[in-house]
Amino acid sequence: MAELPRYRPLGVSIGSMPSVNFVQTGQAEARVYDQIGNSLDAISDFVYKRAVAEAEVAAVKYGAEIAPSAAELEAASKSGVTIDPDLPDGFTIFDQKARKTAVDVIQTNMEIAARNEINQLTIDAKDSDMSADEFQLNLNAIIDGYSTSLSQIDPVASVNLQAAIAPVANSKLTTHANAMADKAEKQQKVAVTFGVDGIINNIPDIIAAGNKVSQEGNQAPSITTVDDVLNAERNRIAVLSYGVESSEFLQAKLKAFDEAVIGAKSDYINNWVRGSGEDDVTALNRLGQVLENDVADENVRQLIGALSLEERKKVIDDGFAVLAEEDKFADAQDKREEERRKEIISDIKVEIAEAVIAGDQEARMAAIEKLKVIDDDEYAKQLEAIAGGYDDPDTIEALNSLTASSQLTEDDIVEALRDGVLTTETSKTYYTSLKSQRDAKNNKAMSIVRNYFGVPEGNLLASSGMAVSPEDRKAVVAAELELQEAVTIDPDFDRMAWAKQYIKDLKDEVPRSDGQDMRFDRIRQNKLNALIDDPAITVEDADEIASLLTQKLDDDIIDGDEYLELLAFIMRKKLK
Amino acid sequence: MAPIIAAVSQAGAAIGTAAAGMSGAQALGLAASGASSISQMMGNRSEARGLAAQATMARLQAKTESLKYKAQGVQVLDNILRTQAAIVARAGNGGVDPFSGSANRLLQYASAKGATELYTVQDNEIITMRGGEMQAQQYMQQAKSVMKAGMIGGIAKFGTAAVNYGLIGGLEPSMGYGVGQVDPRLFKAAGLG
Repeated sequence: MAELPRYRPLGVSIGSMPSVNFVQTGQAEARVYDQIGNSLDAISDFVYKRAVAEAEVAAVKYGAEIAPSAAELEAASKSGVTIDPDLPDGFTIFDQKARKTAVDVIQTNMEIAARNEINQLTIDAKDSDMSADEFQLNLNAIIDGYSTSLSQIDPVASVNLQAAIAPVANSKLTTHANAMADKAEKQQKVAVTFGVDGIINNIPDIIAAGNKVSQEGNQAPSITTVDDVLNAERNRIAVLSYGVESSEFLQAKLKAFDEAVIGAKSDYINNWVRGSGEDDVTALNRLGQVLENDVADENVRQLIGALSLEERKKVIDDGFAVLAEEDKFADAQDKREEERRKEIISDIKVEIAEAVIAGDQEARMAAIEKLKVIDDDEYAKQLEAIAGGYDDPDTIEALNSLTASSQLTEDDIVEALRDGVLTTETSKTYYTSLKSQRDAKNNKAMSIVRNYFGVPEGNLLASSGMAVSPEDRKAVVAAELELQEAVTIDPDFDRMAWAKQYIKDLKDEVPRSDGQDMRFDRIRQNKLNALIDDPAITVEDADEIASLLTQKLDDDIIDGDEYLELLAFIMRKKLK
Repeated sequence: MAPIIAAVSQAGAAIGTAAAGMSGAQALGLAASGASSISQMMGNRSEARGLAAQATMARLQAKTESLKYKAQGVQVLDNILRTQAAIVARAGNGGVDPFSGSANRLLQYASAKGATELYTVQDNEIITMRGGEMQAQQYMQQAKSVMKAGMIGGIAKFGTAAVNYGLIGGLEPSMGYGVGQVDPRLFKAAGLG
């Protein structure tokens, strides 16, 4: 059998599957999303940081606001009130920051308040001399008070606060303790100085007491000399000076003591030399006793006997100084007596002048008699003046000149009287002028009048360049006499107003007698107004005025002459 | 799925807390953070999708390889038939009974050898299919993990941002009610206060 045809395969096979990487594609897509996410994260991060920064700023502000001030903390501390601020206690950034800020501010404010309290305490301590221990207790109380209060809020801040205040407190404590120590030292020094000065001041008493004799029972009497006591006192100075711990102080005080001893001994001896009036022995005689070392007084003799050569020399020098002082005193006393004598003579002269003015010869003679034992020459002059004489025109002119220039003296009048060129009657005018010149108010008023007449005040001879007519001088004398008469109407009247009116009347050519009457009436009117002092009362109310004047007379406000003078004035006015 | 819902719920609560009393700028920042989280999740989703596609690809490749083995099995069967036909034909031509004696033993030998080869091919097909499937499952598992990681990472990221923003804090409103709350005066005006 022939071989049959059969199907022959072409060798077709299944193809290989192509490899596709989907993972890479997904990863690439994921990277894109990742980049987008990163950008968004950057935005969010920026916003977050910004928001955190803003929240922190707000928290700082809020924390500072809610923290109590230093003044509040100080007031609370002083009143014992515990401050418990409501601080944020959450866990947010804002709360944490606000709390931290508030705590920081409270710590700072507490430090300020504590420092203030410490400063105040320092001042008080200084003023009250507070002891260092008490000062320390008070300082600790302040520090503990604030730190304990703060520890309830923040223990760490409390420790920081203590660390900040403690050095200040320590510094204050050290300063105060040193100041107290210095003060105590000064007080000690003052006390020692006071005690030592007391010893030194007591030296004169020790010396004056002299030696002391004491006896106990049947034992022999023992003598404690002045020098023994002084030596004991000197030793006491050394003992007291230990408190000061200064050799310079001790040396200075011992030196002062020694000098005081010499001075006191010298004073005691020289007091004896000066004498106390117990005997008639003169200072010179006593100094002689000292020089010869033969003194009668036992105390003084013992003192002199115990003196060193140097001390003795000083005592004698002082003794001579005492003698010189005594002489000087005597001279001064003589001078004082002479001045007193002159004052008495002057008073008697015033008395004589007043007697002449009053025309009282008896009083004048009595006054002159007083001069007899004080001043013989003046007595003789006054007697001669009584003899009297005539009014010499030249003398009158000379006296007018002196009166007009306010240069008149008693001697000028007395001399004219003694020479017989002035009558006693005329002399009254000049005595009156003389009396007026003694009044300062009168002199001021007269200066106005003198100026008007061109009469200079003072020595006319010295101002000879000015021509003054005798008429002007007479006018000045007349004005002076009117002024003196006006004084008798009212001693307190206004002199200046009178002088101005006087000049005005002269200028208006008012007759002299009329002018004088008007001026006197004006003085009386013023006096009456001052006494009555009631504008409702007029001159028509004469009876009422008389009644009031009587009352013033009864009250001794005016005397009888003034009463009659004013009454007559009222009557005259009413009649007019 | 339940844990994810819980996480989302918690994140929402955090956002709600953070949003209360938040300024406009802060809200913008938080929104940017949310968008970033979503972007992150979408990136992971893309990666997961790539992995899932790669898994399908792996299955396809395994199937292709198994078909090759299937064709090889057919060739083995053809070869058996061809060999047996040649033996029968040669035996018949030589006058030998092909179904007895040595010819028959040759036929049996050819069948045995061919069967052995066929079984080997079939085993290879199964191995290829199983290997591809395993590869695909690996890819799918990876895709799920990436997806889950993206979801959790995004939520965690946004939650963290929300908490951070919430922790900035600030002053309480002076009227006594917070952002998002109704003014108490309105309740009073409505007769409810």
